[in-house]
Order: sequence, then structure tokens, then C-alpha cells
Amino acid sequence: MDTDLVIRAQRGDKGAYALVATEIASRFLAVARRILRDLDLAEDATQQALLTIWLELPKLRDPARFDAWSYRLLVRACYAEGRRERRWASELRLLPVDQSLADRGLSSVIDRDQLERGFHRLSLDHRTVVVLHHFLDLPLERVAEICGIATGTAHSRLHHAMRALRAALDADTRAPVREVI
Amino acid sequence: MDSERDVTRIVRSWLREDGHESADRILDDVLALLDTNTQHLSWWQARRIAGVRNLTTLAIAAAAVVVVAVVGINLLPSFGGVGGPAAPTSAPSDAPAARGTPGPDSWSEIEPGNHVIATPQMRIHLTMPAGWKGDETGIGLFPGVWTGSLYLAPATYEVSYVLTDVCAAEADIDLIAVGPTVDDLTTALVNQTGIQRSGPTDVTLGGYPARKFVLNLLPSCPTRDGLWADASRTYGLGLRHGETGTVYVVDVNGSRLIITSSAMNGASSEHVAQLEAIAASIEIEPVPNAEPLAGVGPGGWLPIGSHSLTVDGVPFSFTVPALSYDRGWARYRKVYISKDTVGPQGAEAAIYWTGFPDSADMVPCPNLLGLPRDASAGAIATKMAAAPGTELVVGPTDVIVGGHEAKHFVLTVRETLGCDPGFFVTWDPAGGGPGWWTTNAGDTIRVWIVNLDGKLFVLVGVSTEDASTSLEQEIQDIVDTIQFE
Repeated sequence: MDTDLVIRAQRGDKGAYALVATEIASRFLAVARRILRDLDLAEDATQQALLTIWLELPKLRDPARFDAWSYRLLVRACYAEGRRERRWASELRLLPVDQSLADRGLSSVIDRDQLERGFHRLSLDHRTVVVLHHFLDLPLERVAEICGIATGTAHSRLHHAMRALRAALDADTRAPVREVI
Repeated sequence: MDSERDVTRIVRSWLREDGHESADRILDDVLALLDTNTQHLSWWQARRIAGVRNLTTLAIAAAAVVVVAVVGINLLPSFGGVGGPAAPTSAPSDAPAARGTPGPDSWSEIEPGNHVIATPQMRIHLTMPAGWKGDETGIGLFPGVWTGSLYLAPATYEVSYVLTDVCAAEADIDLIAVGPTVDDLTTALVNQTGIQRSGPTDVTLGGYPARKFVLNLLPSCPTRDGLWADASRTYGLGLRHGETGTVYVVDVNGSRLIITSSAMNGASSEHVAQLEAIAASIEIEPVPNAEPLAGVGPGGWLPIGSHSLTVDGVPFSFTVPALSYDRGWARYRKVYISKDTVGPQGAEAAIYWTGFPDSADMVPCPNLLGLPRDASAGAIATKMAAAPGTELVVGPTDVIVGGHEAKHFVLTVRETLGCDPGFFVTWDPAGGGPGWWTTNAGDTIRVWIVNLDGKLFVLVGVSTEDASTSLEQEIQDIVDTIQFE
């Protein structure tokens, strides 16, 4: 991010912030969607994050750290939306695997489905680390900074998450899993 | 599944598919909301770093336009300039905070002519051209674009350390102690690596011999929050890319005076010439029998243990808890202490203290609550506990703080109301310090109104939603250690 642009936005330059927001909005939405696995929630989180960034920007003490700081606000917004999701998600039931897909041998589709399920079972903490690391290609040190956790914790969360996702995929290779409604 | 590598490949591939989201509508909505959402106040400049060596920043930081948190400087008209003859004052090193929001928008225009920056040690006379602005903490020019800004100000703290390598990664930053003389600092700056430097050049400034350095960051090096530090290892003299810093180390009859200036590389040649003319116009007048420079700047990390302060005439002490897992508490002047634990930006907990009702701090929101000047602690607590936009969590209850009766209550902020009732932390952002100046929705506010034999003293502990339970407990722990003398 252009630091001068950030500084101008810090000083209340709406035009500058429009440029900042334009540059980051699509990426934010992509990250939020992957963490939340829900486009509506992701849009709400992205909008909230972009607005919060504008409001809080004067408090950013080092404009050079805008990227990490803004991702942190996005992650917070995702957590907030994720909490909303949990409140109503508890009333939902899991649907069974679409056996017809498995029968047709569409392993990649099954992979996606199993990954989706496995990912949904992860906590937001774990999802966030996976997305920041494997989607944004951020090193775990930066992931830790964004999440406000120790680097070791980021390693641990990633390890746990990937092990869980592997288990989800392994389960699929053994036999189609059907979950009872 | 064959291997971890396969899982990683599949997950990465899965994350990268179906990426066709459009953020256009979100952007439209957000940009439409900017007009109705005012940015929150900033504390500007004083940056605390999440460095492993517990470095914080002094006010003369890289933001470079306003030099704030330089305590005890008065910019006074003199020599018959606008405002009449000089008013020679030596503000105490713990002078009340400057008023107004720091930054170019709040600076008052300085009339062309002669002015004085009066520190406890020196009176620095300078001749100002038209168009420059300043406040009680420095002078500068902001011609409408950040990249064209300039400033000049003296340092009012003793430089005790110099970074050995300006280009070092934050985790590898190392400091070398420097002695009190001009030669000590000159030598340390000459030996400083990782920076583009010209000088030292022998010059005369204000009638005294000086060493002049001109400094730029190397293109491959990170923006630096400070090139040196005070005794508390709090950074001073920040420098960023596109900025040229000038340091004058002046020998005033054996005392070291440091004056720094900055010009962003986009500054016009006319403005740079004005800055040079201002520097050339400086006349230095030592204050007879002045106290030595403060060993530390206006803020810094608090060592674990007991600390004493006098706020609004109330002397008291408090103890910082002995915790080693994080960076600890930092103090900014006498206004507050604060601590962050979860990241490099912003504190998650702070304790503010002030007298009531005559304090220069804690304005103006309590006034908006309609609190009479002679209100009792109970009346204040009742009024504050019912402030709009907040939700009462605890109290008001009767407690003892430092051996004195007090009213205590806890609120959470539910609405962002700006500087309205419910926003108890509204100390003017005089510049500097790792805290925040308004409370935001989600913050928790703990208030203690202590009755000191008829005089009221207010403590406000604030924590954000991000604050851990242990950090919140530390607020209570610190308040529990308070002793009034």
C-alpha cells in the first residue's frame, strides 16, 4: 500500500481513502469469504472492516504497517460475523453427502465437498490462519502479527487445521461418509 | 491421502477457486458512508513499537509535521512581534498538555516576525516567515500535501542511546549508550551505520558552535521510528523514506542542545529555503541556573515496581505488576499509563487519572453530563453510571482506594457517540502516547471516584474488546496498589 496515500487518508482525505479502499476491497472480500465460507457474511465483514479502517485510520501510528493492521481489522470483522453465524447455525442440520457425486467418481468435487465440511468444522481461529497462510501466502510470522498471537501459536493452529482437513479428505478416500439428519 | 504435501496442494487449490466475488457494491456503500462517519481522533506521532527491546517512541517521530509531546515548550511572540513583548516562561517539564487536536488543521498561524521557543533550559529566538504554523510544541509548514511538509523543534530530553544500525531489523535493533557532551553524541552519530549521512559539519547556530548532520534513510532500509532514545529507551527522531532530517548538536557553554528539523523531499525549494532561514535566524539564550534536561522524554516504559506521580496536586504512587510475558505498561506524561499485548498497534488497556472538577484534563464530556462543580462523589457516580450510550455492569458501589472512600462502577460502551456523555476518556490528544482518546463501542470503562478529604480524584480504567482477562485484572491490580501521600 502506498504509504503517502495512507497518510493522506489518515488526515481525512476521502479521495485518498477511496483509492485505498478500492485497492484492498476485492482482496478483503476474497479473504473474508474464505474464512467465513458465506458470501453474505463476507460482504458484511468486508464492509464493516473498510468502514472501521476509515474511522480508526488516524490512530494507526505507523502507516507503513497499514497492511497488517488492516488485515487485523478484517479478521476482527470476520470474527464478529462468524459469531453471528454461530447463533443461527446451531439450529441447522448437516446435509448428507451427495452420494451421486461419489458414485460418479468426481473426486475433485468430493474433495471440495469434504474440504468444505472439514473447513466448516474448524474454529474461526484455525480457518483464519489457514486462509492467511495458504491463500494470501503470508508467512506465519505475519499471520501471527495479524491475529495477535505468538508465532508458535500460529504454527500450532495451522498444524491442527491441516491435520483436520487431511482427516476430512482421508475419510472420503476410505468411504463416503453419511451424516444422519 | 498420500502426503502432507498433497493435502497442502489440495487446500491451496481449493482456496483459490471460485474467486469471482465483486466488491463494487461494498465499495459504493462504504464510500457513501464516509461523509456520515467522522474519523476518530488520533494520538499522532508517539509510536510505541512492539520491539523485543522494549523501545517506545518519543514525540519527535517520523510523521514529521508536528513535533508533539515535547513537554514544556512555549512558542511565544517576542521582540515586539504580534502579541507584545516576550513572556519569558520556563514551563515545568510536566506542564499540562497542549490543547487542540495535533496536526496541521489545528495549528494556529504564526504571524511573521520574531518568536521564542522557551524550554526550561533555553530560550530559542527565531524569525518566522509568513505562512508557517505551530503550536506549543513545535513549528512546521504543511502546504497541503504531506510530501511537502517541514518542521523544526528542539529536543527537551537527554539523548542517552543511539541506534548502532539504523537499517537493522526490529528484532535486531541495538543501542549504544552515549555520554552527555556534544562530542559524545557526535561520535555516536558518526559511528551509526545503515543510514545515509552527511556531516558532521562545523557550523554556528544561534551564536554557538554546533555540529550539523543531514540524514536520510537508505532506500533498502525500513522506516525508522527513532534514531536515538532517551534513558527509558524511548525512541526519538524518527525518519521515514522521502524525508531529510537535519540534526544540530549545539554546544551552549558546555551544555548540549539538540535541534532537529525535517523536510519531506516534496517540499518546494522556497519552503526549504525558509526552513534554512529560520534555522539561520536562531538565537540561543540559555536560562540561568536552569535544571538539566530531563533524562527521559514525556513517556516510556515503566519498570516493574512502584512509581510516584503528582496529578492535579495529588501525589500518589502505584505499582506496576511483576509480569514478564509481555512488554509491560508504559506511561505517557502524567495523563495515563497503558499497555498492549496482542499486536503492534494500539493499547488494549489504559488507566487515566485526573482531579475533579478543576483539572485541565478530562474535558469536556463530564461537563456535558451536567455535573455541578460541587458534585459529590456519589452524585458524580450516579450521573456517570447512567450516561447515554453505555450499559452499567457494576455498581455504583462503595470501595476503598488507597485508604480513602471511593465510588466505583463499571460500564460498557454500546454506542459510538463521539464526544458525548458516555465518552469519559476525552483528554485532549495533546500528542503522543500509546493510548486512545475516546472510548469506542465495545470498550469497558471502570471508574473510581476517590474522595480525598473533600477533594475528588478520578481514576478511569479502560480496556478494549481485545483485552485479555488478565490484562483487565491488571487494571484492578494497579488500582489496588495506589497509595495517596
